[in-house]
Amino acid sequence: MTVTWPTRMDHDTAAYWEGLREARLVLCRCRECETWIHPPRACCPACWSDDIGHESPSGEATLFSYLIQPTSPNQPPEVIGWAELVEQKELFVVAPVERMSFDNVKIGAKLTLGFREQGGLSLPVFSAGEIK
Amino acid sequence: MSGRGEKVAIIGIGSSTLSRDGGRSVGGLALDAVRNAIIDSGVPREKIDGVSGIYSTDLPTVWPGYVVESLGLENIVWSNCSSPPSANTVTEGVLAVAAGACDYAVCYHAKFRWDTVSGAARKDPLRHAPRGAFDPAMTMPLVEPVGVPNGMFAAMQRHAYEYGTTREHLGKIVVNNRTWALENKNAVFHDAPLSMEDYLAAQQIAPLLSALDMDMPIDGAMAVVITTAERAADLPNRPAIVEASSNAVTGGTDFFFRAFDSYASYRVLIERLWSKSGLTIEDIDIVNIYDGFSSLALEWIEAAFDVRGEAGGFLDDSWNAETGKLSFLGRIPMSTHGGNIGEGRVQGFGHVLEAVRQLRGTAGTRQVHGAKNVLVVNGNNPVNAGMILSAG
Repeated sequence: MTVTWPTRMDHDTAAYWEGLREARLVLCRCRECETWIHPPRACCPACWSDDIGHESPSGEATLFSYLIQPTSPNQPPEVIGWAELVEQKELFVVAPVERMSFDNVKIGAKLTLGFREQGGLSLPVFSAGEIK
Repeated sequence: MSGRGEKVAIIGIGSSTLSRDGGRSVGGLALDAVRNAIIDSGVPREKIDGVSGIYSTDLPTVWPGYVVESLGLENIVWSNCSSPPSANTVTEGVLAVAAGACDYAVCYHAKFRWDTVSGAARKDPLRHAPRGAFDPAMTMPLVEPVGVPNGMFAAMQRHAYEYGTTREHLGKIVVNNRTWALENKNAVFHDAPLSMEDYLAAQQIAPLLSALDMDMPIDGAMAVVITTAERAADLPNRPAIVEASSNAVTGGTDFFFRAFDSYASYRVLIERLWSKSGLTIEDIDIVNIYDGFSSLALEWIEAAFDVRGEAGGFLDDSWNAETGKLSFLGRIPMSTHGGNIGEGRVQGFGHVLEAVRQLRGTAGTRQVHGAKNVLVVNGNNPVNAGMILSAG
């Protein structure tokens, strides 16, 4: 597959990528009604405001679902998680989950945001804490 | 259809061969299906005045201009190119005819075993897909660092977590479709029976899903011809009347972040079909349920029969281990052509063609006697479509 990140950014996603240059997860948030918006969008789906700000969430999340992603042939497969951020229902960040293997994946587990160096950026990665 | 008060009907159906290697280009397959549908309809080609196709740049097919040029159609006054699934090109044609934008619309879709969907195709110089980025929700770069994971697989995991769904449940969908395919000589799996035992032994590639849970990549194209029910009366085939057709979009419309919302869109679509047609599930004789993955069929079944979260038990109750087939509510078979899993991946078009055959009474050994109404559903959120067809 042709990889286009992070060069393929637009007016909506630029702040997300710029945040990752300095190991910060920066998400869109409506300044009018405070709705978090991810993936980034140009207007608020709740109140239609154009006044979209950018904020970093706390980094606390719960594992909503996952899949097992094959990696290179000699590496164990990786758990890719749909991390539901505590800030808002169904506000998902899709990222690898560390300290969780194929055998012990637990939907509902508490996750904490961290970062991993890749391609000159610090990309989001979650690690599993206590199991619910 | 309401509005102008005039009903619309499918009056011609056509298909190319359905196989792993049809020996034809994707364009050639489309032209086979379109010609066969026009010939089947009995409409002279000069009268065809509408063309509708499907185009997505990840798995390219040919757009309407290609078909018009290649077949020398000279009187086209309406054309359209919609997103997958296949029922979408049919619903567009229905709208065009109902609105009077054209009188006879031919609607097609062609699928090809490109090197982007088949590992074995990578060695074939005739199967290099055009390269392009298909990213209509503009989110793909955000998930490229993690390998562009398919949210549909995560949705299946969530379903299993919330409702206790197992591979035994999915297996009933897959084996049903593969068993029906044995009676369909055009199906890619017409001679390859699959037992529940074999299904359960398959390696889970994206748990809970195995390769058997995915529709089969093939070379294949299909088409229909649509006109008004009034004009259909003068044509040779028994028409399949479109009682209702629609598509629904809800919630997150992104395959990566929010693939968990498909069920909600299915319910919106199904409720719309019931309210427009005045029919209920009690009136339906066959359900042709989309099976791009068995997990999508699972949630479509929940939506069609209004059994959210209970698909597992519902499938258990509907399963006949002896025949290897499902029978919902004790009488409604599913996807008698074999679905995309058994017949091959034309992205749901086979579901439409089989409905027409059943309503004409030409489905051979698969014929459901006296079939009057068939429910067809295709796709997932945000690209889906469905219809209720009835015997004219």
